[in-house]
Amino acid sequence: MDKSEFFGRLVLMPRDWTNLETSFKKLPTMQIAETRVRCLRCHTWHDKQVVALPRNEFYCSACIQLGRVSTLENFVTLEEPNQFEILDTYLTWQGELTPSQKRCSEEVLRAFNLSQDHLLWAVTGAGKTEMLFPGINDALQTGKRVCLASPRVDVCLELFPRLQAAFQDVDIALLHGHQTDPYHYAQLTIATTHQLLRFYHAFDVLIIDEVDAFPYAQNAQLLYATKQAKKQTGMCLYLTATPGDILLKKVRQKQLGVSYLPQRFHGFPLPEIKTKLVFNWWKKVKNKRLPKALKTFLTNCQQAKRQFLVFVPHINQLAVVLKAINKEFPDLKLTTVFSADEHRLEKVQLMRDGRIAGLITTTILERGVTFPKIDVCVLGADDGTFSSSALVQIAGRVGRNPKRPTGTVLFICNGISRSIKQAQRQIKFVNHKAKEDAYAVSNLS
Amino acid sequence: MQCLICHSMIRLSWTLSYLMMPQRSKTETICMACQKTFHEIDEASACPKCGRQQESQNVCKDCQKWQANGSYYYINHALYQYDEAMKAYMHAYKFQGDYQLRHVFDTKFSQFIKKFAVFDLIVALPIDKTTWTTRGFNQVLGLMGDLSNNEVLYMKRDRDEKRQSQKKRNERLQTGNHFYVDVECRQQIENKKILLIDDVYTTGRTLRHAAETLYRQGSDRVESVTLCR
Ligand SMILES: [Zn+2]
Ligand SMILES: [Zn+2]
Ligand SMILES: [Zn+2]
Repeated sequence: MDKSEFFGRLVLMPRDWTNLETSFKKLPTMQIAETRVRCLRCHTWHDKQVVALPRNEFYCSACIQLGRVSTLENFVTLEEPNQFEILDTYLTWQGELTPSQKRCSEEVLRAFNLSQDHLLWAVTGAGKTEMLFPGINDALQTGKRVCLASPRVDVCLELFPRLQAAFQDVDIALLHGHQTDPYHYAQLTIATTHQLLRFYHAFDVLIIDEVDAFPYAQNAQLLYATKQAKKQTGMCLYLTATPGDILLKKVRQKQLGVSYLPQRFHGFPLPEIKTKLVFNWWKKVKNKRLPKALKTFLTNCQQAKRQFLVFVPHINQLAVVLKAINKEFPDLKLTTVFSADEHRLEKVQLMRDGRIAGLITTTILERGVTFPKIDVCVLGADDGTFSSSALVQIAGRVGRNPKRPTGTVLFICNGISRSIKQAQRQIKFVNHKAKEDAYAVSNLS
Repeated sequence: MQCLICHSMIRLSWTLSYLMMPQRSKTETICMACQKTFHEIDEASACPKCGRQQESQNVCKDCQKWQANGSYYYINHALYQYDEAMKAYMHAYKFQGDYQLRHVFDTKFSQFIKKFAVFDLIVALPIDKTTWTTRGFNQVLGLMGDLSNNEVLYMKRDRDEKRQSQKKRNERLQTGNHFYVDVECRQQIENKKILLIDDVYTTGRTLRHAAETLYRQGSDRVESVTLCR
């Protein structure tokens, strides 16, 4: 094993492993308490009984996909030495930033320089990645180790070629779970947030994309992974279109700097959410009757020949909703789709080609999947499966095209949930920000 | 209770069967959907020698070959088919080392083993020292649930391999056989009917080596039970 593979990493080695070089640091893998044990890689507590191995050993089942942590091993690490080759050029990208992108980009660069945690709050479709280039360039030039992490593999896969094109001479490591290439030490790393658990005080600059793609509970674990992976002197940049409670609280408490990019590239505001209370909408739909609001929504779409998306909370509701709509609108061509749907790609393509009028779906589909001129209706928007950030993302599907920068976002629900309120508030806030002097960085209170 | 495989919640429905057999429902460790991915072997159409699922009860091709070179009696009984779902399970349990997954089958497997009550001794195939320090458990013992094992078979260490060349010729003929019976255990197995236990019967080679070793030390009869074939 090459020495560089230990730089800023937690490498599992058998307990009796020794190396004469003293710079290798051995760390325990698990914390043993009275009745519980805690994995020191993913920080999960387990009941001793559940994760016991014979002969009084223990293991962690929570992060086992990254290779099993057990008391049979130690973590071995070498302190991050920032041992990088100095290149003539780093950033080879030659594009231009809009004035507001440029402002955010400068603020990000300053946060990197000062090594201060920062939040870049940019609406969907604002061109986040490009805004990072000057900052990453500066960090690489000054010999810093940089990581760009996202909870989603597809985002990492999409980012890798874009970054490689922008930094042509820089060696970039891409790390995710479905991969067979071995790990290698590189100055710039793109990784799923899960992979961050394998790092230990490695990064000077750690950028987390789509921080709020996951619900609250998993977020706590993500924040832990982040803390472990960056150097104690390092910083973290959070990128999001929909910041959750934790981050907003930190901003309010001034623990976190923030840059806003409230404008979409076409400059129009985000469409605001309209809600319609329909008591027992699900019962109605099951009896093949459509709520009046949905009927109006569909009639409007049909008459204006606009495509639409109807979101439902659960997969098993898809077919029922489809049946009810078919009965009421026999001429409307539409189908259902969900994330694990075998024919997902084909159905999305049908929609893109305009061969169907709409999709009933449980998922916001892939990032980057955009339909130019659509309206959106969410059935059961108050259901617990919709987080506020999911609702904002759903609303953000509408009005992306400069030719039709507006559209309808209709939530049909039994009641107004906290998530709905938060989503409405965030969209209002962002639009308000956009109207205000976009250059001012103000507090959120 | 969460399904050990897909982590979805197992819903204990208050159906009639639950009311009649509450103990049984309590011990479910995987959900219905996951249970359906595994397939039990139907003895009525399995090879009588190795337990492989097939169309008929004829001795399968592999076993015919073994019969041609072998001189002693040995048969295997298996509970499940070694199909894709089972391979994925074995990967997670044995190679990723998720020891909890023993509970997916331990109840059923130990019940299956108990059917072979005519045997004097139950002997699980051992693992070597290196596996103990890396995997940390014997996957066979894990699957045996509350059944106790008789530790009579041992595994030679890999390092001993080199010394093979210094051994007597008849011992060398046993190349690849890593099993031995501890001297102190010889009496225990002499003239006894022994039931070997293993997780998977693939080529049958390993199990046959173990059986040979036991016969050489005077066992009367050796058969085996595996979780899958
Ligand atoms: Zn863990
Ligand atoms: Zn399951
Ligand atoms: Zn056979």
